[in-house]
Amino acid sequence: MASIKEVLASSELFKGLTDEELEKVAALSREETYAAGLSVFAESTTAKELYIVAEGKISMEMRLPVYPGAEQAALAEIIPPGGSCGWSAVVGSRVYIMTARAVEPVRVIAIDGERLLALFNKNHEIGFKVMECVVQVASSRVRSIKRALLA
Amino acid sequence: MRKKGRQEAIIKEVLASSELFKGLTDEELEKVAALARAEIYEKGITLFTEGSVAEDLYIIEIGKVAMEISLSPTPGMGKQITVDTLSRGQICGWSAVGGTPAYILTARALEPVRAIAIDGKRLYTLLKEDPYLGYRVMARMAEVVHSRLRHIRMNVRVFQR
Repeated sequence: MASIKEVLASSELFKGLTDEELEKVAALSREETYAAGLSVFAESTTAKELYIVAEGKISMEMRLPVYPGAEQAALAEIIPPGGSCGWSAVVGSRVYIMTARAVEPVRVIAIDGERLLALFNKNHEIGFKVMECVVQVASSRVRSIKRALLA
Repeated sequence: MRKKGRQEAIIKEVLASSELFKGLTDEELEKVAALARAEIYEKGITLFTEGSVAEDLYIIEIGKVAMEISLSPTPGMGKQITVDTLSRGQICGWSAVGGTPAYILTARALEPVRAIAIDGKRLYTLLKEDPYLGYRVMARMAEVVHSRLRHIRMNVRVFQR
């Protein structure tokens, strides 16, 4: 079973970090497991942690208005191993904008958002690398939306 | 003030009130402004096209810009879907700043538009050379792209209905 550092090193957000930098992020992280169907975090709740998927899959759902007063949960994305979710813990208004749910039994690395931001503010190189990865991953998700539209 | 000096002052002002560069010091704004130029677009004209080489990042000063996806085989032509609408202070074309070589969407002026175009490669170099500036700007970009992704998902859902 891969260590926290190994999972981070092969993740979409932290793969550009040096060994020393990975140690610093690993120090703010812990492993969690979720049974299939359980929610990892809910839309509109306080965004405390950023997540990397180590094993299994997470579904990201949004609540969309269908007509006034009625909402529907829409599937936005499936996050596989190496993928990330819960960016709201380090960007935006610190409130989760989607619900993350274990599609199958899932093992994740949960990283404390506040402490990670404090690390970024102290170590701008790490901050730059990770934020750049967030931009790139978000861009690739826009591309996925495009492909889904054209399918 | 000389015409050129006034142009530069306006560019700095637009940068300072933009979602990407607000909060930067005067000195930092000067450095970014040095890589920027003002551009004008008539209604219907594209600032850039989906799939083309991403050269510049744009900040909207005046007017509205539609972000589009092409349903036809030729990006920017034929049937387009608008996935987002942007206005003053907002950015588009972030693909020009490191990483992705091509623009993901087409940006089209919905009315006469004035925008500040910033050389993406040179901006990226500036951000890498100054870690404190680089981190703050990249963090802002992450915030913008994160929120943009959400808008696009919500708008696209409407079309799928």
